[in-house]
Amino acid sequence: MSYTKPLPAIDNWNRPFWDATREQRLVAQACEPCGTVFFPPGPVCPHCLSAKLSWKQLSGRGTVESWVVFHQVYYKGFADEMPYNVAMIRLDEGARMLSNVVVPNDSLHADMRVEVVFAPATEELSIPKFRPLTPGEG
Amino acid sequence: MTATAIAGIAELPQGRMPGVTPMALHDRLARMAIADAGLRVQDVDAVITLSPRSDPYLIHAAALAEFMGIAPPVALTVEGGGAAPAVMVDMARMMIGGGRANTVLIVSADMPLSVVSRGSYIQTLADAGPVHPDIERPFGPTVPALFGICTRAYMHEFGATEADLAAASLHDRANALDHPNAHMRKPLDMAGYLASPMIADPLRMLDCTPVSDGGAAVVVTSLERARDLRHKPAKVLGAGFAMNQLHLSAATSLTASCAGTASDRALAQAGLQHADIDIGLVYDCFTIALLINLEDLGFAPKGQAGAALRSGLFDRAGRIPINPHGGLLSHGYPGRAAGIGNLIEAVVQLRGDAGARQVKDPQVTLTHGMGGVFATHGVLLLGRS
Ligand SMILES: [Zn+2]
Repeated sequence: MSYTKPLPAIDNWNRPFWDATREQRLVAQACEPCGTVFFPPGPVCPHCLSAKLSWKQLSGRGTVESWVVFHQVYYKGFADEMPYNVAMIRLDEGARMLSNVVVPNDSLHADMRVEVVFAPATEELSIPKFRPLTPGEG
Repeated sequence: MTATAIAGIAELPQGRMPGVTPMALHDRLARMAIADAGLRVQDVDAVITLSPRSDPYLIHAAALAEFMGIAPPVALTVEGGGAAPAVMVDMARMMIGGGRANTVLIVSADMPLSVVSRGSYIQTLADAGPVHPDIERPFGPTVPALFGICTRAYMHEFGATEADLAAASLHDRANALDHPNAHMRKPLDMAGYLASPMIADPLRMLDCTPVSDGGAAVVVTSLERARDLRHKPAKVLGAGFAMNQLHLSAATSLTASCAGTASDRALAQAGLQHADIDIGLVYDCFTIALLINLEDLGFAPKGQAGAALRSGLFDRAGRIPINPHGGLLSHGYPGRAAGIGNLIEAVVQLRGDAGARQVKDPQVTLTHGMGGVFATHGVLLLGRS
């Protein structure tokens, strides 16, 4: 069955991010001079404006900062999953990332520790979602 | 800089406008505002518009001028999100100050309800609004989802509850009951608010604005000239702007933004203090936007806007009336033109023409507009001359 949810528009800035998802790796740009790790991908560090950036492999772990449970079908690909959650994850490396947490909506809570999991989408990319970490896992 | 003033205004009832084209709506508002100022269409030497979502044009302002049968030297269409009203008035001010124009016509209208359809308008916002197409959209967020994420973060950080969100919704609705142009004029109580369905839990339908056909027009000219026209001029005292990002993933905070920076810049330019503000017109595309913007603009301490709303502080008879026209939540949300209603209300109140919703003797109004999800801010201070 073909993938019906929205797919990213791949461009030169975000291609390394989505290429890495195919290999089930979560990466982000990191600034060499100041260490800032950030999204969305771009040509310069938003903190110090340096263009000395490299793509860094992340731990894939983070904390749920906030979320919504969405009750309207605006994207047809989500129709089978109503209501679905959209969460803001604060990655351990500092960047914020929007994603979905693969968990019953009523078990979501603030500061929930989560880890990336990759949902297959197309031959070119996977979608990085998150699952809860159990206590002791970090 | 040459002192400038708003000399003419026009607004129609917000809501559904069947049988009208967006261009005809612009034309009608334009002629009404020019007539309100006591000027003639051919006096206009600059036209500024927003690009309506319901009527995409290359250089919409030139199309409007052509439709009106005029050929002003300046016709330009700007993009400023919800901060656009302050942007457009400030541009008019600089054109007049620089000798580029004498009579600037600003028209801001859209018809997302009758022409585009509510559903497809919201879809467009999801596709081409402040949702990052590459790293946010694949997860299915929409504009209400992004504001909902800010809402839950705000509730978690400050211990706020749905009663605080409801306070924003009920405040605006109570004010809109007295406004003949308001879109939402049915009385609303707490039970009615709680009965409204969840959209982006914790945001209910009544935490979101309606989608309205509507908008408004204003005429800006020099203060000196405005004094000889039909109405008491609303003098432009100062303008200020600020931004920190566009996409929520790049925001430094989910619960605070730089609205206060924009406001401080406007106050500094005007040589005024915060205490000089008599009415606040605060951009509130969602209830959470009213709460956070009220706080960031200095009208309430962080986390306490809901309590301040419930206390009556912001009522029309309160110490600092906020959104006496009903805000975007109840006066209406005319798509790209959203926020122009705040500017119109500021002028109506300063003129003393607000009828049942007139605030007693206001001297200075603050009109705030916001683009994106707490992304960009524009503040305009108007006063009696
Ligand atoms: Zn840096």
